[in-house]
Amino acid sequence: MLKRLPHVLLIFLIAFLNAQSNFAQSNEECMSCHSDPDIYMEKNGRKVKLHVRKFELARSVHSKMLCINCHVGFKADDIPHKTGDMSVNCMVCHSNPKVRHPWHPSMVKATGSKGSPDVNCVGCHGSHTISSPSDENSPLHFTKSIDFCGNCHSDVKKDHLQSEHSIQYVAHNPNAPTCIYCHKQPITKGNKLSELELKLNQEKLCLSCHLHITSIASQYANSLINYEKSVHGRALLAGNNKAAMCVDCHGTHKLQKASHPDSRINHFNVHNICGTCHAEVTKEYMESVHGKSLKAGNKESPSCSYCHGEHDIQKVPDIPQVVFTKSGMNFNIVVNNRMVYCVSCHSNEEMMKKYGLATVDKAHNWLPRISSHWDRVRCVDCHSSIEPPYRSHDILPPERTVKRCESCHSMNSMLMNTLYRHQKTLSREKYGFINGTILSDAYVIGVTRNIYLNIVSIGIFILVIFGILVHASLRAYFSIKRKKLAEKNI
Amino acid sequence: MKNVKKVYMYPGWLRFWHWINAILFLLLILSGVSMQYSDSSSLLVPFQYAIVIHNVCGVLLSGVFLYYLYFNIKTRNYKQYIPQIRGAKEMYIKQMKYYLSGVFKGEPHPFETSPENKFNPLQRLTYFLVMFLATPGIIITGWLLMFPELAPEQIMGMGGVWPMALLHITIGFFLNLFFVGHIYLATHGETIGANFKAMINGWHLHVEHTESEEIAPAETNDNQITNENIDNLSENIPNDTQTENSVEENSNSQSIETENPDNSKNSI
Repeated sequence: MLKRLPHVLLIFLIAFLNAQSNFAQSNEECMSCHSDPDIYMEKNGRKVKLHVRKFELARSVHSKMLCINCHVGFKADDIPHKTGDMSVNCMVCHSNPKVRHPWHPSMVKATGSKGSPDVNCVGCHGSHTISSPSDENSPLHFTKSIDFCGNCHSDVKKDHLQSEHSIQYVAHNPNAPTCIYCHKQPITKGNKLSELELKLNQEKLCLSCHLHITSIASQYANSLINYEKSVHGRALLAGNNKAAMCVDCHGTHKLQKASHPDSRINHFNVHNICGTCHAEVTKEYMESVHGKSLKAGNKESPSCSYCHGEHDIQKVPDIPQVVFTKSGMNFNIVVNNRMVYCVSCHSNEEMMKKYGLATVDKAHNWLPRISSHWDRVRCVDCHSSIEPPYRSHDILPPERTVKRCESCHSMNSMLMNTLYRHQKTLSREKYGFINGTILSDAYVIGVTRNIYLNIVSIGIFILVIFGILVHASLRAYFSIKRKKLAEKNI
Repeated sequence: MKNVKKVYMYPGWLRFWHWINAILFLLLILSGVSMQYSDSSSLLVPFQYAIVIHNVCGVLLSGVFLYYLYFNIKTRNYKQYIPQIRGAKEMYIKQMKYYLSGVFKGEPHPFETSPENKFNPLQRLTYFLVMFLATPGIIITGWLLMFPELAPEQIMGMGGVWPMALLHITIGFFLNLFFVGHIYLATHGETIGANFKAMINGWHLHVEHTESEEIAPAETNDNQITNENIDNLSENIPNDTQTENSVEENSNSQSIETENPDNSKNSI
C-alpha cells in the first residue's frame, strides 16, 4: 500500500485540480449521456461509439476514479468536449512502462494509450474494463498470457499450444510456464543484447527450472548438470555464439517431448536437428547402415544421441560381463573410446540374429592377437570410411568393411613385423607352403611410403640418367668432330 | 698401324648366366620399382602382379647366382673380381680420367682387356661390390622377407623385418643404378655394340695400338684409320658356332686367337 501512496496522492491532486476547473464534474453527470448505447461521434469518417457500460466501469480497477481524471481537458459544455488529441495518457500515473513490462521490450516506445497496439496500453489492458493483472480473475493475469499475448502473436501461440509446457499448463501443473514467465527475462532480440548474451540468458532460464528445481527435474536433469561441460556448453561459455544451447535443439515455443512423433528431438528426427550445424556428418550418417535403417523406420537403429548422448551424458549401457570375457575386450578401453555403444547392441545375440549379423566376438575371431586389436582399434576404424573427407559416421555394411590392416601396421617397425608375418602365415595356410611363400602378396609397407626417400632416390636416378646423356652427347659430338677433321686432312 | 685382335673371353656358362641374370634383373627392377613407388594406383606393373613377378624372379635369381658361384669357383674366374690393392688409387684415377676426358679425345682404353685381366680396375672394384656384396645382400634380405619368421625379432629396438626391407630396397636402388651404368659403359667398346656382341658370342675384339699411337693426341689422322678399321672389323667377327663350341670345350684355358700373331704386346 505504501508503495502506491504516491499514486493515490497524485490521483487526489489531479482530482482536486480538475474539480477546481471543471466544477468537480461527477461520473454520474458524464454517464447521464454516455450510458446511452446509441451515442457516437464521427471521427475521420468513422463512427466511434461513445457508450460506456456502467457496470464495466464499476468492476474495473479504476472504479473509484472520476472520468475526468483520465479524460483530461474535456469541457462538458462543448460538443465535442475536446478537439484534437482526445487520447488518454495512462503514463501520467503509470510511469516507466518498460520496467513494468520486461517481456515486451518494445514498450520503450510506449507513449500512453497512443501508438500501435503493441505499445499502447489499451491494446492489452483495454479501456474502461481495465483490471489489475495481479487479480487472478483478470484476463491479464500472467497465467492467461498465452491468450492475451496470442492475440497478436498468433503463430507463436499455435506453436506453444503444441508444446509440453502448454500440455502441462492444461493439466494444471503449477510449474508450467506461460509466455510471461519466460519472456520477463531478457531472452529476445528486442532486448538489444548480443547473441551470446541472449543465448546465455536463455540457457540460464531453462536450467532455472529443469536443473535447479528438483521437484520438476526431468529424467534428463542429471545430464543437464553436465551441459556446461559438454562440447556445446564449453563452446558457449568460451564465447562461441554459434554453440548449441537448449532452444537450438528443443525449439523455442513448440517444445515437444522426444516421445512425440513430431518432436524435433524424436528418435527419427534428431539427426535433422544435429544436422543443422553438423550437416556433413549427418549426411554421412544417413548413408550409413544405421541411417538407412532409421529412414526405413527401424526404432532399434541408433541415431546421433544414442552414441553421443544428450547434454553430454555419458551413460554406459548395461552389457553383460560375459561379453568382455568372451571377446577379450577391455571394458574401460571400450568405454573410453566410446565403442561401448557399438558393443552394447552388437553383443546382443538376439538382436544381431534379427539382422543376420554375427555378434562382436564371433565376427572378429579371425583376428590374431584379438585383445591387442580391441585395445587399439576402434570399431569405426574398420567399419566406416574413416579417411577424410569422411568422418567415421558412414558405418558400412559388413561386406564393405575396410580391411586396411596396413594403415596401423605401417606406424612402426614392430607393427610391420607382426602384420607381415601374419600375412605370410595366412598365405601359406591358403596356398600351401611353397606357393604361399612365393605368391603371398604381403609387403612391408612403410619403407616404401617415405616421401623423402622416394624423392632422394628418384633424384639420384634422374641425375645418373642425365649424367649419362651428357656423357653420351659429348662422346657423339667429339666423335663427329674428329671424323670431320680427319676428312679434311685427307 | 693397328691390328685386329679377336679373343675368346666369355665362356658359354658365363654368357648364359649373364643374360639370364640380366633378364631377371630387369624384371626385378621393373616389379620392384612398381612396388616401391606405386600408391593406390598401379605403376608399370599392377601391384598384385609385381609382387609375384618379384618373388618368382628373386628365387630364380638366387638359383642363377649359385650357378654363377659354382662356375666361378670351378673355373677360378672369381680371381678376376679381386680388386687390386697395390697402386689402386693411381689406377682408379687413370680410369676415371679416361671416362671424363680421354674417351672424348678418342684415346684408347688405359687398361687393355685380356682373358687374364678382363676388367679394368674400376670394373674389378664395382663388379666385386656388386657380385659379392650387393647381390648376396639383396638375395639374403629377399629370402628373409619371404620367410619373415627367420628374420630377427628385433634389431636395435626395431621390428626385424623392417630393416630387412630397408636394406633390400637400398641395395636394390644401387643395383638399379649399376644396371643403368653398366649398360651405358658397355657402349665404350671398340664400337658401340662391340661389347654387347662379345657378350653374345664370347669373342672380344679390339684394335691393337702401337706405342706411338697410344701416346698420340686424339685429333690425329690415325684415329680415322682406327675407326675405319673397327667398321671393317665388326663384319669380321666370327659367327661360326662351331668355333665357339670348340673353344667352349677348353674354356678353362680361354684360348686366344689373334689375326696378327706378331703383335703380342697386349696384356698389361
